[in-house]
Amino acid sequence: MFPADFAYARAGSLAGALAQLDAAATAGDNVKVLAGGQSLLPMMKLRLATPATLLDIGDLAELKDIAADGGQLRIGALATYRDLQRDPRITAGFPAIADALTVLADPQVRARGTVGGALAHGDPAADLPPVLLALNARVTIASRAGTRTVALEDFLRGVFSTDLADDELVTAVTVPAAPAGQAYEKFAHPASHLPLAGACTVIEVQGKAITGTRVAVTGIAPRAFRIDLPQRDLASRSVSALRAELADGDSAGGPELDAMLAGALEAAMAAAGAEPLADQHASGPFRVHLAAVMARRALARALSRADAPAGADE
Amino acid sequence: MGTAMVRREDPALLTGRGQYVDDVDPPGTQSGGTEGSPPGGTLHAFVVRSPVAHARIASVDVRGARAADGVVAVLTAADLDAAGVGPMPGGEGMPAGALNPPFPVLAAGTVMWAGQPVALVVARTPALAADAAELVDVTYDELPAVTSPLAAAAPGAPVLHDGGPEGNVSFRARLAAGDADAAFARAAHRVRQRMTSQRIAPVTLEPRGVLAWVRGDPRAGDGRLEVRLPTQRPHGSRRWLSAMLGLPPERIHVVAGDVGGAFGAKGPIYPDQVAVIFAALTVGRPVKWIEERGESFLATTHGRDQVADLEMAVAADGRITALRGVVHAGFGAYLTPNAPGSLLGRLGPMLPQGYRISAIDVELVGVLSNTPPIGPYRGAGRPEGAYFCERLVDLAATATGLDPAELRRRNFIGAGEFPYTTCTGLVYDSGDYQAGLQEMLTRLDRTALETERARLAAATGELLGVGIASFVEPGGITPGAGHAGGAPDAGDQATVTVSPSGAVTVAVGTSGHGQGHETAFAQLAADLLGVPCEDVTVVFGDTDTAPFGYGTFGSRSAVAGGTAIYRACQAVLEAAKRADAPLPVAQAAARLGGLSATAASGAPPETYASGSYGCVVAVDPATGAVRVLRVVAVDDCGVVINPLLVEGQVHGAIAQGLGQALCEEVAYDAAGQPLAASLMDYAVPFAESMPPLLESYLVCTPSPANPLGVKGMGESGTIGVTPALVNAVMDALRPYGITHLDMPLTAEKVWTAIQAAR
Amino acid sequence: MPDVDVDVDVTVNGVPRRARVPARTLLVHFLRDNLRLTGTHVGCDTTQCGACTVALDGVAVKSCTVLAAQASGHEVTTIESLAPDLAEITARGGTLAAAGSRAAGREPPASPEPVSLHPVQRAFWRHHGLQCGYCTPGMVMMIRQLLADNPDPTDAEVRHALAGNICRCTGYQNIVAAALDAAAELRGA
Repeated sequence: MFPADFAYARAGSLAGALAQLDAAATAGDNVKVLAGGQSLLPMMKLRLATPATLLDIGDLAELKDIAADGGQLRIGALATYRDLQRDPRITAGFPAIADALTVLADPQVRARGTVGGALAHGDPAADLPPVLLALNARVTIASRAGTRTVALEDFLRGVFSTDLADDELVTAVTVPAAPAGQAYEKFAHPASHLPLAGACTVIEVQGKAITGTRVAVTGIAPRAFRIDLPQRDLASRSVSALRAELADGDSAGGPELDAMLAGALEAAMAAAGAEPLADQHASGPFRVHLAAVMARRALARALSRADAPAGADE
Repeated sequence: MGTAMVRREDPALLTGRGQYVDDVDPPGTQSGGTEGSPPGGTLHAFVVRSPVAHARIASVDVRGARAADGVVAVLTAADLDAAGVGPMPGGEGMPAGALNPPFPVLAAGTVMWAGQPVALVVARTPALAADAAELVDVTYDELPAVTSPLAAAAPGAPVLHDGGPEGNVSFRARLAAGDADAAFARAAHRVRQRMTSQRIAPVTLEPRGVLAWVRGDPRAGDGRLEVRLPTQRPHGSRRWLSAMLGLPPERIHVVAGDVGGAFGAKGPIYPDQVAVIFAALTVGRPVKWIEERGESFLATTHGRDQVADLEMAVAADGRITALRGVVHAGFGAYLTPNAPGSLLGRLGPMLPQGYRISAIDVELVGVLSNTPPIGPYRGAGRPEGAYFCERLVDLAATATGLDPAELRRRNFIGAGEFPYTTCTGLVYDSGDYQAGLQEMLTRLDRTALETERARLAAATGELLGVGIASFVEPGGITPGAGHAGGAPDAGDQATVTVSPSGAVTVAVGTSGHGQGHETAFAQLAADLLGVPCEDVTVVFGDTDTAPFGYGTFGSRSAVAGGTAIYRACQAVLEAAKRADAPLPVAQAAARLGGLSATAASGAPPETYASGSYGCVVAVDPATGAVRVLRVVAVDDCGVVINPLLVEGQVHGAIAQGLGQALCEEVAYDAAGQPLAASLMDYAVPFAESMPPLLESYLVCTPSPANPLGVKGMGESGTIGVTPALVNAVMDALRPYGITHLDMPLTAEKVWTAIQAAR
Repeated sequence: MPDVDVDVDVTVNGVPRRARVPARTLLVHFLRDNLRLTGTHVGCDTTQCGACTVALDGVAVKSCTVLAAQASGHEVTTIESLAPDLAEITARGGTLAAAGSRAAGREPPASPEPVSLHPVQRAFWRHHGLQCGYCTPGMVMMIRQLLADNPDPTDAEVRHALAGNICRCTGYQNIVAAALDAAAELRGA
C-alpha cells in the first residue's frame, strides 16, 4: 500500500512549525501534522487521508519532556507511549495510565505513537482519552497567536473531531495529582486490539467511606465521555461492602452493578444526544454492556489500589 | 528416521536471506521499486478490482490510466480475448450436468464478486501503478447479490450464471448406503442440528504474488517464459498456464522459491497472476505483482462455507446407526479445480469419521454465490466433516445420557477391523482409535477438571468447559490418472543421484512451503542410502530441476513424495550392486562414476491418520469471552520421520482451528460487501490467544499402505480442535441450557445466547 | 505541483546510506527496494502483523508505518545485521551439521552452532520456532527488543510482547520457547 504523493517538511523549531501552520491555514493548504504517525500513516496508506503536505514535528525535543510539578505531571505532546511506560512517575503515581499503556496496541506502535498525536487524532476507540478524562487532564494548545489550555472534556468533540484549529498544535497534556484508587480495564477487539469498550475509574476514599467516583469510558460513543456515579448508589456503602458487590459470578453482585452502570452510561449518552457506536465488530447494546462490566472491574481494581499501602498492587 | 533434527531451511530464513517472490528480480535487472530506478527494470502491476458484488459492466475507460505518469500498459478482458488467453481452470470431478461456468481471467460483461479482477495496470513502480489504477473508469450497473450458500440455493435468489439446471446450484449429489430411513425409524434417539462451518480466510503471512519475464520469444524459436510463482503445485501450474496461454509446457519454467505459507491457498492459480504473466509476455519486460493484504481478503480463495442440516440415529445402547440430511457448500462465484472435491471427496465421505456407521443418506449440494471462489484451506472438507459429526456425537451423548467419551468408545471401529471399508466407500488402512482416545483422556484428567470447575467459578465467576473430539484424517492423495499431466497411475516422481564424490541429490515432485521437506526428505534418503544426512541435498519447487509431481497439498508429501524417494533409493541401491564388491553406496558411486535413478510413487493408496483432542475453556458470563486453558492433542500419523516437524504441524494447525472456532469469519453485508477485509478487522490468533501450552502427544499405528508406514498429518490440528473447542464451550454453557452455537464463538455471540437463556 | 521528493540520509546497519526518494516512500520499501535489504517483510499493510519490524535508534518499530523521510538522520538496524557473517548461507545444506540436534530446553545441542547467529536466532533454530519463515525476521527483531527491556520475561510476558506480531504457521508455542531460552542464554543462566 502506498500513500498518495505529498510534500514533506520537517519542523526545526516549535515557532517555525506554528508559523508554517499559520501560513498554511491562511492559504487554505491541506497540511497535516505528523507526530509518531501510528494513526495518520495507516489512514494515508488506505488513502483515507491525502494531505498535500506533511509537517513532521518529530524533531521538536521541547515537546518530548515529561515534567513533574508537585503531584502534577506535564507530559509533552511528543512523549511516546513507550516513554511513559518507562517513566517511574507514571507507574507509581498514575497506575491507570500504566494499565492503559500495557494494553494499548503493541510494543512497536507504542514506541512511535505519541500522547499528543493520539488526542489530536480524536479516535473514538482509543485507550488513553478515558483515562485522561477520569484524571481531569488538561490540554495545552499552541498557535502563532499564543498558548491556551482547555480541559480534555472540552477538547474532545466527536469521531476524529477535536477542538484543535488548523493553525494549532497540541503541545502538552497536564494531569493533576490523583488518588491511588484508579484503574483502566478494556475489552479489546481480537484483531485490532482497539477497545470495543474501555473504562477508567478513579475512586476517592476517606477512611472507610467512598467520597467520590469518576468513570470515563471509550469505544461506545463518538468520543470518550465521563460520568459521575450517583452518590446514592455507591457512597452509602463501606469499602468492604462495595468490594463484595463488585465480584464476578452470577451469584455475586456483579450483574446487578453492571445493569446499574449500563443504565448510567445510557442516560449520559442520551443526555448528550450521542448514539452508541455499532458496527460489524460489536452492536451498540453489547458495547454499552461491556463498558459497564469494564467500569465495574476497574472500580474493583481501583478500590484495591485505594486500599493498598503505597507501592503495593493486587 | 525418527530423529528430531533441526531444519536445514532455517539459517537462511532466520537471517533475512529467504528468497520469497518479492525478494527476487530477474537476472540482470533491478526492481523499479522507486522512481529513481533505471529503465528496463522490472515493471509493477496493480489490479483494478470490482468494488461491487454483482453488476453488469456498462463501460470500461482506461484512457486516463494509460496516459498517467509511468504507465506502460493497461490490460482489460478485451486484450486477453484478442490474444485468446483463458479461461481459468474450472471445477473438477463433478457429476455430469453440473454448472461449471467459464471463469474469465479479467471480468467481461459482468462482475460476480467484490474483488473480481477487471483490469491490470502496469507501470514503472508499484506506487505509480496504484496511482494510475485510480484513473481506470468502470461504470457498473449493480445487480442484487447473494452471498450465503443457503440463500443462494433458495428459489428466487439472484442468479449469477445462465445455463445451470437449478439457479445457482452447481450440482446435487446423493451419498447413500444402507437403509438410513429404516435405521431412523428404529432409533431410540435422533439428534438433529443445523451447523455452519463458516467462510474463513487462509491468511498466509506472505501474500500471493508473481514475477514473470521472457527469455527470447516463447511463442517461437527457443524462448522461454519464466514464472516465479509462490505455489504448492509447480508442475500443475505450468500445465494450467500452458493451456491458458497456448504455450507448450516446455516453454514455461515455473519456480516456487521460498513460499511464505500456503495452507492450500497457493494451490490454485489465480486470474490476477495469469493477467500479470500475460502482461509480461505482451510488454516483453519483467512484470511483478504482489498482493496487498486487503486484496488477499477479496481475491485469494477462502475456505469452508458449508451449512449442514444433519441428523444422527442412535440406538438405546448408544450405537450410532445412521446419518442423514443435507449439506450446502458455497463455492463462490466460480469453481476452482479442487473445490468440488472438498465436498464430494472429503466432507461427505468423511462424515462417519472413525465410527461403525452402516447407513447414510446425505445430499451434497454445491452452490455458487457472489463471493470469492472457495479453494482448499487446511483440511479442505476434513475439518468440516469431522466438526459436523463430532458435534452430533456430543449432542447424542446428551440425548442418551452417556459420557461423550463412552459414546465414542462404543462406536469406534476396532483396532482389529482394518482395513475397514466405510459405508461411504473409503478404505481406512489402520488405526487404534480406542488407544488414542484413552491416551488423551489420561492426559486430560477430567476428574481433576471437575475440581477446577468449582475453583474457577468461585475465583473469577468463569464457567469451565471440557470438550473432546476424535477424528480420522485422510492424507496422501494422488490425483486421478492424467491429472496435471501426470502419467496414468504413476504418481509423483523422485530422482536420486549419487555423484562420484558421494554427494547425494534428491529431486522430488512434491513441493514444500514451510513444512520442512528439505530436512525430512534428507533424513529419509540418508537413512535409506546409509549416508550422512549432511551429504544429501533436496531439490523441489522448480519444473526444470525437479521431476514431475503433483505438488504438496492434502497431507500428501510424506506418503507420495516419500514413497517416490523410497523407490528411487531402492533403485540406486540396486544399481550399486553393479560394483564388483558389496560397497557402501557412496563408494559404489565413486567406482561406477556416479549412480542415479528416477522412480515414481506408483500412486500409493491414501492413508488415514487419526486423533483425539481435548479442550478446556473458561467462559466469562459477564462478557461472553472464551479463554482456551488447555488443548490436549493425541495424534496417530503412523511412522514419524521427524517428530519436531510433526509437532510443528500439529501446533500450527491447532492455532488455525482455534481461529475458526473462536474468532475468524469472512462475512458479508446484504449488498455483498465484505465486513472484514484487513487484519484490523479479521482476527487471527495471536500469541496471547493460545493456551499457555499445547499438549501434543503421538501414538503410532504404522500404515500398511506404503513402504514407509507413514500417514499424512498436516491438517490434524484444524480437524480435531474445532469440534473439541466448540464441544467445550457448549459444556461450559450447559447450565444455561444452550446446546449449540455456530462458529466463530465470539464474545458477543456467547453473551447474547446467555442473555437469551437467563 | 510541490516537490514530492526528499533526501533521505540514514545509517542502516552501521552504514550511511543516502538517496532521493518520493516523500511517500515507507521505510520498509526504502530498505527493500532501494537498499535491497529484503529480509524485512511486508505482511499486512495495516500495522498488525509485525513482519516489517526493525530497530529505529535501537527501538523496535514497524517499518511499514514509518516514512523513510522520518528515519532520515537516524539509525536503522535490520535482521540482516544480526548475523552478518552468514552471507554465504543462502545456499542451503552446508550448515546442518552445525545446527546440532534440538535442544528444546531438554537436551543440549549435539554439536557447536555457528557463533555468528544471534542468540535469539539460534534459539529459534533449536526450538523449531519458524516454518515458512516469513514472520521470522520481525519476530526475531521484536524478541530482541523484549529481551533488552526485560531480560527475564515470563511466558505470559513474551506472549504479551508479541501483540504486534502474527505467525500463521507455528501456533507461537515454539516461538515463545525460543524467546525464553534465548533470554536464559543472554542472562548467562
